[in-house]
Amino acid sequence: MPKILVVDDAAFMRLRVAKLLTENGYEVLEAGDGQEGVDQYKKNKPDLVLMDITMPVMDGITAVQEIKKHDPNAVVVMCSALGQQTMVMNSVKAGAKDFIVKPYQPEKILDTIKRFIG
Amino acid sequence: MDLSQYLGMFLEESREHLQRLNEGLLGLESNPEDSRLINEIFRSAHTLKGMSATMGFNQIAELTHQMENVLQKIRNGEVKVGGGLIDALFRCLDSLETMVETVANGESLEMDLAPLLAGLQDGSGQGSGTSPEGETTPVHNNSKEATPGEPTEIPGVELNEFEKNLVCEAQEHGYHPYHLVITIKPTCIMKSVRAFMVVRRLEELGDIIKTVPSVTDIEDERFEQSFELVLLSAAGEAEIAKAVNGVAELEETKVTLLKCLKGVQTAPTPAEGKVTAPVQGQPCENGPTPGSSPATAKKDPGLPRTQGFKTKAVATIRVDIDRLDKLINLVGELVINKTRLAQIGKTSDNPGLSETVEQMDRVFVDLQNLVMKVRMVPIEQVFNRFPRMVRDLAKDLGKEIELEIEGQETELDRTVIDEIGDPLVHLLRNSVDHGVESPDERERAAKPTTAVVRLTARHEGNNVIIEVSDDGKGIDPQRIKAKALEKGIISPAEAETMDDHTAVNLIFRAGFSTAEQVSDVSGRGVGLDAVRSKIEALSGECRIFTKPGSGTTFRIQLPLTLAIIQALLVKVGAESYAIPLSFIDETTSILPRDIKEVQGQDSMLLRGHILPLLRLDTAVGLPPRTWSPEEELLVVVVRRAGKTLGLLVDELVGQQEVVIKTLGELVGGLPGIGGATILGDGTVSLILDVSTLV
Repeated sequence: MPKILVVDDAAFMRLRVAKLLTENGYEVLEAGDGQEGVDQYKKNKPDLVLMDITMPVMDGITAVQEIKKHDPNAVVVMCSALGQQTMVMNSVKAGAKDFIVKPYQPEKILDTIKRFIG
Repeated sequence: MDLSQYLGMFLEESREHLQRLNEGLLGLESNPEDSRLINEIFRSAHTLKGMSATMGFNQIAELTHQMENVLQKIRNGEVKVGGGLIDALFRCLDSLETMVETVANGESLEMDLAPLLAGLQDGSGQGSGTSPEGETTPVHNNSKEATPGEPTEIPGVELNEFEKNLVCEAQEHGYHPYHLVITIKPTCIMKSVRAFMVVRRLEELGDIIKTVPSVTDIEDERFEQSFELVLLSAAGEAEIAKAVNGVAELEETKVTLLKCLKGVQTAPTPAEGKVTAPVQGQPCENGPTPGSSPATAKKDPGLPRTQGFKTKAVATIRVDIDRLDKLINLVGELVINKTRLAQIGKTSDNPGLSETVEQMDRVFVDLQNLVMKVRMVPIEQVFNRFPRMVRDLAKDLGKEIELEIEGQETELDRTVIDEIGDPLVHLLRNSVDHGVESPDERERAAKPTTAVVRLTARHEGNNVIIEVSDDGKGIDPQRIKAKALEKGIISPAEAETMDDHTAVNLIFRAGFSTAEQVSDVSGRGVGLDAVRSKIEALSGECRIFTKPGSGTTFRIQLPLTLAIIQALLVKVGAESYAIPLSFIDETTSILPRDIKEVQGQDSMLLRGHILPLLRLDTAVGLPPRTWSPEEELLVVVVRRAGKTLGLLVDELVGQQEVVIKTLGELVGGLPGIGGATILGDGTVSLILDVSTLV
């Protein structure tokens, strides 16, 4: 079962995404901030990361950089709010493979994931 | 290979190229469309890059490489030459100069190149995007350059010569040129990020040589639904399409393999154009390429690119100045011995000897003249850097100034050349800062807004005259007086009686600076007194001519050479001294009873003027000789900086050419003594340093 790490500081968002992903046959790992996300990545090596951008302790862009340092092949998909275009661009420059704009549409999330991991 | 032996050559050539770059940029600033100039600048930058890379000076190589990239864009017409860009390039030049001089001093210096590179980027109108090779802005082909019948393969995207070269080059090496049109879904949010992701992915497969719109515009979302790009890649069409389609929210991707552009007659880039004509069957001479294009790796630094400069080098050779100094010393020794031989010839009655000596004498004169000539360098070397300096200064101060240079071919002794730079810098700064008025002021004074600062050099007899003149506001003697009073340089009583000429000359006094505010231009704590003392140290003289309202001229008079001078030999007691002829006004005589004391100073009246007197015997520490009342005392009148002094000596021996020898460290620095020379009879004579006596 492919493993997906969901990094978001809002527990509610994690819950929603986790539910969607589990229903569709993915194993879900969760992290509440960037630092925790990086730690989780190192420990569990998920197949894909859904990464929020604005988070306490360590923001999403920094987390992407950290993860990329650890594993250049990591697949990180940014989850951003509207109007965070510059940050998304910076994340992509930092190595994020794709991005999804909130509010989440379930199909978008699944489509994106499928593009990277079957 | 030990590269250190080439260091001297590297430095010399680097300086030459830096100078060329400086001149070229100056020219380019006033003449931005001059393609010949651009090519010249480009070549110099390119050569400099090659040289420094070979020598392992990576920072110099890196900086020149980036400059080259920008120049390349100028050359291709992608970037317009503007003030910002020129300034940025000038700043790079300054840093290069610093780096080269650091190398010359045998130090190692790491400079932070980032601000310079950023300046170049800004100047060339580019953001700090991550893919410089993709940032080319669309340009229209210069139709003159395009060869008739050339296939225009790409609808919508026009490639310039350089890009065509790249395409050709890539084809030579098994890369395929692709044209891509990518359309993003209208529903897409953040389409610029999508587009950027496409660019990213394609960069992994090859090199993007062009995007329409530019990458910066794409990043800033200045495009509609679609954008185009040209990619050079070894990958197949399908692979590329797949890579692009990995990005979400794309409506359509069109990938077209471009038809072979081979056979397109490309204009060889001037860097190589002079050296190697395009070889048949290999139509694409690879020009210097920017960024990470596939052609970069194939550049061969060993290619003889510098032929244009080398042709000049054949006619001359570089000689270490130390060797020349040794040569001139040896010739000096010979001259001394020749003089001795001539004296022996006079006293002996061997006619053969005196005849031979006479013959030798003629050869010696030629030899001496030749050696002196070898040491002569055109003052151009010094003048060269001034146009740039004046330009920068004028720009900083918001003044409009034209620098006219005349007589830069005038030759001067190398030692003088080395020393004269600083005083001239100071005088020019002074003219630009204090002399020339602002354009407004000039307009009010009914003068043309552009001021003219002239720098001229010419020979006058055995001297060289260098003048720095401006058509500025001139020097107001009253203001100078007031300032000198304020600074306590003169007393109120002196100010009362002081004539204008003397007042103006107050600016040469130590501690005098009229700048109301200390500007970083001329108010550097070093006044004109430093200029005067430097010039006097070179046995020269500095005079000032000014006319309020219409300008000021500083005139520097320097001896042609410092190694061999004409001197008057005098005797005091048993010792002989040499007084440089250039300081001597005249000789006269006086009876002891005519010596008057004026303000505690022995003086005499010479044609109605008071002439202070100095007994040379006491001045050099000899016991004073008692004069008989009817004895005519000999007076040598010397002048320095407009002041005169009468030296009382016992005997005038005669005028003679003397070779100046320094006294060396052990006895050097004697006040009043500037050096020594060996006379024909083998005795040593000290040379008086008139400037410290007056």
